[in-house]
Amino acid sequence: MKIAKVINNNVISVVNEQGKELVVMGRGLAFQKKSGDDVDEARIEKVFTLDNKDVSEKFKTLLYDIPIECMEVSEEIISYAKLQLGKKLNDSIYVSLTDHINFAIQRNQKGLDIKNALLWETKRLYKDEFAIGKEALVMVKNKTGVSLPEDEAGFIALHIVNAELNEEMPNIINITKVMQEILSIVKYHFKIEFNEESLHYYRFVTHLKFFAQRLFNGTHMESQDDFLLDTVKEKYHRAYECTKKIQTYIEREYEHKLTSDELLYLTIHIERVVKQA
Amino acid sequence: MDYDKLSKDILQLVGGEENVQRVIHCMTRLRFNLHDNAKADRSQLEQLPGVMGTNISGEQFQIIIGNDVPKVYQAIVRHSNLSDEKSAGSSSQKKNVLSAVFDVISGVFTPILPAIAGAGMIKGLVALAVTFGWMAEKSQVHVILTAVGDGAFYFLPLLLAMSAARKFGSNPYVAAAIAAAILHPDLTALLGAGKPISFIGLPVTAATYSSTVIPILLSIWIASYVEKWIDRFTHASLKLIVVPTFTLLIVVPLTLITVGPLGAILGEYLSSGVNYLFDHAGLVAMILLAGTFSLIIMTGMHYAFVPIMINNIAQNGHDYLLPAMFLANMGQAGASFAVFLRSRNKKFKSLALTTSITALMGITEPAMYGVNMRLKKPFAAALIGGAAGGAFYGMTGVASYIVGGNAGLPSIPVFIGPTFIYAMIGLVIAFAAGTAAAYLLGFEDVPSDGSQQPAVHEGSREIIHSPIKGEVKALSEVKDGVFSAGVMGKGFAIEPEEGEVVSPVRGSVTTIFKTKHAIGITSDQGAEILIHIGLDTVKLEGQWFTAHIKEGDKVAPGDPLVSFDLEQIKAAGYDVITPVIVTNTDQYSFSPVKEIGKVQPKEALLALS
Repeated sequence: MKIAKVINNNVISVVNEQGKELVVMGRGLAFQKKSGDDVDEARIEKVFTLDNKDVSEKFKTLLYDIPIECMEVSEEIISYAKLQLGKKLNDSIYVSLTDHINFAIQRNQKGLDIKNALLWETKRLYKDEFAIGKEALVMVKNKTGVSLPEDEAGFIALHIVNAELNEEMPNIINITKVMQEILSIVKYHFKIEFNEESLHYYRFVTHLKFFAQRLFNGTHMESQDDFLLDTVKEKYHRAYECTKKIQTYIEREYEHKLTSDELLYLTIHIERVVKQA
Repeated sequence: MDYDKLSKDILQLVGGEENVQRVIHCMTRLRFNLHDNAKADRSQLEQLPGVMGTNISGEQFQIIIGNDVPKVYQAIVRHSNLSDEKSAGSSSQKKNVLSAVFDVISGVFTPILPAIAGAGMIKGLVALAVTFGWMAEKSQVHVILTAVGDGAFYFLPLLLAMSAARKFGSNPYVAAAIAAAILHPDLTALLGAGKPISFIGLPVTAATYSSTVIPILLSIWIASYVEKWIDRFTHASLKLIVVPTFTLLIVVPLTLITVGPLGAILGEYLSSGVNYLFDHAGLVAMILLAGTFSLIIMTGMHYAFVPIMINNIAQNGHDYLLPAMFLANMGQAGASFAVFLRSRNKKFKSLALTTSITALMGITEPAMYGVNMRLKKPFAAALIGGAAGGAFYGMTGVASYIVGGNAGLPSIPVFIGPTFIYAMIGLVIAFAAGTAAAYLLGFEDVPSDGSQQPAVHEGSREIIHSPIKGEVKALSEVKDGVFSAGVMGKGFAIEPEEGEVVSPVRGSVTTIFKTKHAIGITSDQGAEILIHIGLDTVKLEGQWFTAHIKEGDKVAPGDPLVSFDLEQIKAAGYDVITPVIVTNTDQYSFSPVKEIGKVQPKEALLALS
């Protein structure tokens, strides 16, 4: 394999047999090398196959001035997250998380820690991802010696959620906000405390995550038939009352009408989560 | 994308606004309930840039727009009366006749308000410019600007006709044609010529229709029945030509013969009655007249006064009618000023202020119809303001000495004469009395948005007391959408001055959250109340909160519930404003006992019934 382009001492890009461009990372891999030289395969630590051309370009630009430790730890976190969650993550996380961690370390060294306004929500709404975030802080500490605050575990968790949902960061923040607001409406309507360990709660939160994503992306659950809703309305009228409050809230604050399918699912989830609490 | 154009095109291609019963939208689609789906031109609609497709699902006609659907929807609502009609049609409560009439009038005025508020402002400025000599009266600039300001008022019946037609459910353009006919210059000249007029043997009363309100409303109300009646007897193929033709042919003469006299003849009697009163009991006459002049203006009967006004000046050198009109206008201005002070609805607040200023300039229609009449009580307050000024004028004998153009501040020179100082004092009295009366009488505020239709709950009244010492505020001032949007329920918020929360009702504790930042109480009469101490305080996880009760405890008003460290919580960066909400709001109607100001614990704040 020959070097197509030297990005920095530790990162190069190569073109593989299929003519596809790969980003290759390894300590000192490109030290005193130039394009056209052979790749020292013994030094390769990681090969990134980024399918998306745009992400791949961003990644290369980003790598020009990022220390190798950062890349390594970010790669480590992402692999760990994939393993823990058992899910595919959008490639863009290689760019966003690497960039974020690099920045967080720099800020931390200047004594500029940022408060994470969504920390509380992140802990409750994205439990698994937050656990990964906590683990990530340990990895960062081991790799770079920098101890990042808990707020950063929250940010890392949000980046992971992002990659799970294929979303943009501002959307994740809005999604999280709506989820929390709906949970508040349910909580205060019934004046109950959620059992955050329960399966029903977990399912409700997951539903809300995708509900909120649909809300912001304008994807639309089509309803053809109101029969189910009518039945559920009657059977679970207490839960449906609460759903109506949510409906009004979403209409006023986000200017979206909820379809009867959305109302149906919300009602069922609310009924379950409330019954158990 | 040009949403305005797109929305107009869509409205036209679904068969016009008249064909739409209702329109809502979801994430990607506009969903129309049309009277006749066949009138919608699907192929043309699908050609529109911005429209991705159309679909008929059940009875519903859907237009697929994509993510921009809320913007298109808003544009449609802006360019039509569609959402207005929906809310107007939904009130099913019985009301007394006067209140119903007021509702119709203010409902008809609301859509046309921008036109008359704008024109009114111009009219006021023009009058001011003339008073200060910045513009010569009768100069060409003056004539043109006067037309700009006066157009909407002179042809007010035309604007009202369309708006009223929408309200009564008849064709708005036919309604406009009716108004145009009765305002036709040749007809106006004929009616004003002073000769007896008849129409195929029936007497037509000389009346002025320009700038009037009541005659056209009656006329369009009649037209709505006539139109439906003819429609019923006409074959579908002939409807287009037959229905409007006969509606016009019947309604216009009917208006001239029956509605006209109402204003004109009554006006005659009224003016001679008033004249008689002035001659014999000046003080009472002045109070009565200044107190009711707004009503007289509404009916258009004040035109009958103009000759008397001119006559008074010509014969006696002074006149009492114009001063009364001044006072009535100041009363209206004062009342809407009070609305500006008290309303919590930002949009309505600014409307109230603008209309109050134009009313000071002598253009009262926006204030009267757009604000005071809509809220009803301020209208009564305006009449009180006028009457109060009238009492003062009656005692001091204030008169006007020249014929004035309008009855507002720019025309103050009409008072120049021996009683000038009293005239000014009286104007202030009328304004101040109008403001004070409206402020004290209070009113049911215009809800910020959304509809309001409290179902009346069977059972006795229940009082919600203040749970904290502090300052009461409106829920809408709470910086957390879940509470401020009102979806959790109605209630109030308190900015605490002390960290002690006591029970607002007699009842039992349903919930005390683990984190102690929120308490649920169910009153013995069934009201479910939520007290949420501070915003986002759940994140404190109970720190700085101490609970004095547990779930299931019985409590009486004033019993301690939770103490919290106000200073620490504030210092930690939390907003401590405490929403108190009745979460089963639907089952009650609400009457606030106290809406603003300092409160003590146990003070009554809200009555439920």
